[in-house]
Amino acid sequence: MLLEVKGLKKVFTRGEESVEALRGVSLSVERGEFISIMGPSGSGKSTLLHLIGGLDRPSAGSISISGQSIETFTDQNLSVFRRRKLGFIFQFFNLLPTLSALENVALPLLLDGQSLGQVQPKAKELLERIGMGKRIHHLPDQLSGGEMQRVAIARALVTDPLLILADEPTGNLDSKTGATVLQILSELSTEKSNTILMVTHDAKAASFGKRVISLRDGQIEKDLPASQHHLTADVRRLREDDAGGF
Amino acid sequence: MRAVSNLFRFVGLRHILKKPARSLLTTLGVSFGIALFIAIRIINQSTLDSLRENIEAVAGKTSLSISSGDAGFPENKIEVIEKTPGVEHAVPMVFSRAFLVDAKLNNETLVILGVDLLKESSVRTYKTSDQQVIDDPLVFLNQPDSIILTHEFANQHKLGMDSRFSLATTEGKKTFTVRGLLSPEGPARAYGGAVALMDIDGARMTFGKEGKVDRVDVVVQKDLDLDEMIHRLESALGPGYQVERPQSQSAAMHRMVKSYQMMMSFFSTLALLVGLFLITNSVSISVMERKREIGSLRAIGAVRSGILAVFLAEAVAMGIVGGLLGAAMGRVLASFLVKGMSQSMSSQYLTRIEVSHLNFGIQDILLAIVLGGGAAFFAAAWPAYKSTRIEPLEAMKNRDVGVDVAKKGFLRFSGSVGLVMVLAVSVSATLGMNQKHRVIEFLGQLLAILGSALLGPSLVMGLVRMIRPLALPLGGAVSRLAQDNLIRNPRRTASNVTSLMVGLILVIVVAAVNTSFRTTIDLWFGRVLHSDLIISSSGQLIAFQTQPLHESLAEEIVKVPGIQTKTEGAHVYGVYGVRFGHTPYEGKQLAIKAYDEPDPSYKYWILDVRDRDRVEAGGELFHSQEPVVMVSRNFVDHYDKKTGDSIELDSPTGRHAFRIVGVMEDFASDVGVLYLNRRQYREIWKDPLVNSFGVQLASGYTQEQVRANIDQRLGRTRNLVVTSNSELRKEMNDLVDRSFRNTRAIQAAALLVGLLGLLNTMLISVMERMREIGMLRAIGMSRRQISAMIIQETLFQGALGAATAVLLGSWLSYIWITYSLSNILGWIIDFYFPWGSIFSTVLIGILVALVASFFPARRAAGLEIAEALEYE
Amino acid sequence: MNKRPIVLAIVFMLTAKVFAAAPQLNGRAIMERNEDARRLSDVISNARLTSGGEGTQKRVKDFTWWRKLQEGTSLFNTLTRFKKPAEIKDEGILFLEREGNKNEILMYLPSFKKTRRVESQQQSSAFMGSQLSYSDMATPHAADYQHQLLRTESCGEGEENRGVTCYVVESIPVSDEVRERTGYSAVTAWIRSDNFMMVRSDYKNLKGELFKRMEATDIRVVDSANKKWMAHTLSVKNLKTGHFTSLSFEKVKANQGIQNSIFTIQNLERP
Repeated sequence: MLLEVKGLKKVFTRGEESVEALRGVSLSVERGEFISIMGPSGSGKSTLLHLIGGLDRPSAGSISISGQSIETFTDQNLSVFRRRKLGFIFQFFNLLPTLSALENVALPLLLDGQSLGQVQPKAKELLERIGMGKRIHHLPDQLSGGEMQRVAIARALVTDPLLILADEPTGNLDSKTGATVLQILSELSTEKSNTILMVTHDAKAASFGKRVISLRDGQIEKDLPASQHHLTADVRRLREDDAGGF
Repeated sequence: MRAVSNLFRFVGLRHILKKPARSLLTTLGVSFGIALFIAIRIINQSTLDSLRENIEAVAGKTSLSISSGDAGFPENKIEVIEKTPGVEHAVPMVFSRAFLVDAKLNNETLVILGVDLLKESSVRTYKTSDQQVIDDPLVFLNQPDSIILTHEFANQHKLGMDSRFSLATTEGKKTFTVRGLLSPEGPARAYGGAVALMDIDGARMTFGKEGKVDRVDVVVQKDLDLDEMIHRLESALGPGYQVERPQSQSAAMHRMVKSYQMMMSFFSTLALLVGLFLITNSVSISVMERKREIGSLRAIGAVRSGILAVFLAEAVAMGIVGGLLGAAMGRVLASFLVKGMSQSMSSQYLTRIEVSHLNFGIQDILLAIVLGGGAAFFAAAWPAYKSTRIEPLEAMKNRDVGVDVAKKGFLRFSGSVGLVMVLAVSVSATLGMNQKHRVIEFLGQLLAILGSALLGPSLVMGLVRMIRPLALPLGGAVSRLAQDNLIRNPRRTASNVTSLMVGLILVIVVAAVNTSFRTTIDLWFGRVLHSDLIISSSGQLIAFQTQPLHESLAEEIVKVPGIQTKTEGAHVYGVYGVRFGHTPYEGKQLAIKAYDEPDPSYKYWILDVRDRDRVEAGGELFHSQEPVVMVSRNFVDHYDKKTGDSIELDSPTGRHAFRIVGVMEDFASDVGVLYLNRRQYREIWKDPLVNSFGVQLASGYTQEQVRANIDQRLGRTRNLVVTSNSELRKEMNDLVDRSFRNTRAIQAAALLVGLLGLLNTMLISVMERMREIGMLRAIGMSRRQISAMIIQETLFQGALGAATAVLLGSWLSYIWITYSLSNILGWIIDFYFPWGSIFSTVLIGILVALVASFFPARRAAGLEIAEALEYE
Repeated sequence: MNKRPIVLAIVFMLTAKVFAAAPQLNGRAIMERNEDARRLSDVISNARLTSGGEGTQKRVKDFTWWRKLQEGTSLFNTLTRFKKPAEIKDEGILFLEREGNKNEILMYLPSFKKTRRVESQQQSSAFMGSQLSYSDMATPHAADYQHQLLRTESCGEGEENRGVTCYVVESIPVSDEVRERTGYSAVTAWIRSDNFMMVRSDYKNLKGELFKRMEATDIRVVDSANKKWMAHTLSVKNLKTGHFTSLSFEKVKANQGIQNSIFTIQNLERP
């Protein structure tokens, strides 16, 4: 078991009000799974992802990744954990505008204290693998949305993470580019055994995952394989029928 | 470590390089502050060096110098000195200042050393190319009009051997013949070459010092203990004589200019602090702008300390570059300022101070770098710390630049802290704590600026809130929008305004100091200067830089038609002489003014007595049989004496005790001023000279008539100058103004820094609101209207900044002038509000804002709508 | 016939002649004879000092000169009283030689009616704006120097010196004190072998450079009874600058029985 979440709660306080974003969520994830997390806005899906990724702290509950209870980590340890064990892909790409594609990919390892020279070969290889081999020295403002997201994926992979967390990775892309990105993620999961957790509101995107967890009002509503989950079942069938793919 | 350097290299450095204009702006802001600091430092140091060199140049091989105040001491003491065991040579000198009179050589001072040329070589060496300095000593020595000039001076004034030229002396205008020329070595190097040699007897005769000597330079036998020799000589001579090493003389000179230098340093430190403020501002904005980037970095695993290091390193890098730039700029600035500053000091201290060269070396560059980098480090500390508080979740947000979601209470908190700081500075200044230590004083300045910077935004917020109900009805749509923007976001407005405010505060402080000095002195002068006309020899009367005249001249002046006289018994009142000089007291020099008794019916109005009835005090001063004296307010402050106490003064006739009969106001010296009646002064100091005579006009006569009469009777032969009351007052004001002229540079630097700060923040502000601007354009606002909106916002902020600056600046000025500056400078100055400057400051603030608005307005107006709406 | 005695005789005659021409003397002896030849017991004279050269004006000074030997010593007292030009009229310089060379030099300035003392340091400096120094005016003493006879040669082609042989003597100050006082590191003098009067001197400064040359002409007997001579004209030239000074004496009267009171400050101050 790679990831185990038990009784996770998160309460947000804004002034006088408090909002319970998560009301006790438990789940477990095995290595190599590709999980889509869905739900309407306010369901707590993003919050769940943030907590698992150590980007925020739970109000109650536990999160265990590879046997380590990250909810007890200090801020320092969390940072290092994120750096070495996790990979992030954001909706708005979040590449550093002053770094080239290559340097962006290398960044987590640079943060770890390695020199660019040491990291460069691996970063280059990753970029080539996802089809960005000819653009490794380009700056983000010279890349299209799809290209940027691919760089982000390469960045997420550079540390050989235990877990890849993607927050609406196609939210800012057109459907064709989005499909390409999702295809890459899918291959990473099936061929490379990367474990991927993806938050999305889009059923089409969610259908690329093998398992779908849907949330409503801070709790898990359903947790089913994608082919059985009502939100994705139809989409998957449609896609499988259209053999050529996107 | 590698991790941090990676962070710096790939994140920090890239950022600096990516925004060259912004980085440059910030760096420039720092460098202006440092440039001024370094320039003043260079000038101060070089001045001290020049003074020391002057003294060393004249000192030569002297082991010890013996002197006795300004009036000199009797010639027969030379023998006493010569006979003291251990003295190898005793060489006398008469020291004078004379003024060139010829039409083409107007009003230039020449320092004249009257030396015994037959004895000089044991102490000083004079050289001139290959020949002898003097062509014919027999002729030279026997002619009282013989003078030796430096080649430099002679060339400057187209004089050569056997040339004749005129000087103003106590005997009036006299002509001299050049009978020797010197190369610029040894003593001829002093005073910028404006030094001349005469034989001592010739000098005595010319300058009314027959039978006297101003100084005796002693060469002591080898290997003798100097302290022992000092003791022997003091015992042999008795009280009233100073025996000191040449180095003490330069130490004395240093102490003399110290207060002026400290004032300049005070201002330049303030300017530096303002410059640093720019860094704090800049880094804060940078942090705010890069929230998403920081969030991303944290998300992918950067630790807080890494983020901290990035911002600190960026700041320090800019600080170091700013320091280097500042050092170079400072060196250039120093060359521009040095002439003005030395002139100011010369006027203030009645000694020609010329800086022969500016010392600028590696240590100044290093200092600039350390200052720039170090100060940047501290300035950036707080905002850099804030950057570590940014959570990884910021990465998720699509806001391009974060609006500072500082908690509401924070501004209240910082405002309170600011208030506490300002109060703390006020209290400590009032208690006189600042004078204890240079460090405490510097901390005080730092706290004051910091406190103002923290308090300022709260004040602005308050002002903005006050204006809200008033401003909304005003103006068209564009104005309303502009005002809305400011009012809606009081916090952003406040922080935008702060750097301009801080710069303007400095401008106001400098203006206040200037005005206070000028007004205090002008009013005082008005109280005490009552003569209609003042007669003296040519020169700068207001600084007492004139050749003294003999007291017997009064007998001739009183006969001039038009001069009011009054006979009371044997005494004829009409011409009142004043002798100005110095006397040593507890290691420093006090100024002495010895007055002839004025007509009692005028109730001693020349005395600005502060602690008792003026008539009583005046009566005692002029009629007491025992030696009496009046002391100035700053004397009382420094030496803790009061009326009724007694002080001891040394003179050529020995040590005498003087009873204090009153405390008066006089600004002639930053150490202290003594008033004596001239009758007693003459007796005790054996000095019959007078610096100026004051007279009243008799009824029925005009100023012009009496001036003409004086000129006709006396003026031409003696080169006398007649100055009127109002002319003298104007001279005094000009003197004060000249002294402060150089503070303009400080004000300019402060304004520049403020301008840069405001420009910076306005640019950010525009960027922050890209989407909003795009939306406005989309709904129909024209480019011109956008531009107008930005300009108005900026102007308004400028006005707010100026208003807050006026408030805080006035308060700080009051505190500093009344407490700190008085201690630093030695004078007690009353605070006078610089109304005129305030108006111009507010105007300048608005002008600066206008200039600062230009670029951001263009930027905002030039935005393409689609781009703006999509802006990330 | 034996030739040897004739050769010897000829050699003897030749050498005798050489020896007769210049008696065998060492440097010191020569200079002592020179000092003796100049040692007048007293002398009064009128004198004219002319200075000139390129870049300077020609200056002429007239003065009267009293000199007297101090009883039982070789030290002199000298009083100089200036007559012309008007700027220096009545100025007087009193030079009192003292043992151990602590000479006293006093100058009277009529404009101030004051007498001033000249410090010993100054004694190597120019006297009266001329190429002569104070110490030159003092009579040089043989004992102050170490002397070495360099060679003999003709005294020169001038009318006065034709046919006369001169000793060329190099004199080096014996002590630093003498060096300082005189300002010379070496003096080379041409001394006439007949009357032991100096006709020419070359002076080297403290740096060892040859810088000054004095020529004495018009050497006459002034005290025939005691065989005392005096050069009536001294010409000094600064070889570096080209400036010259000429000192000429007339109406020289020796052995006048000058009073000692002449050489007092009181007399100095009474022109």
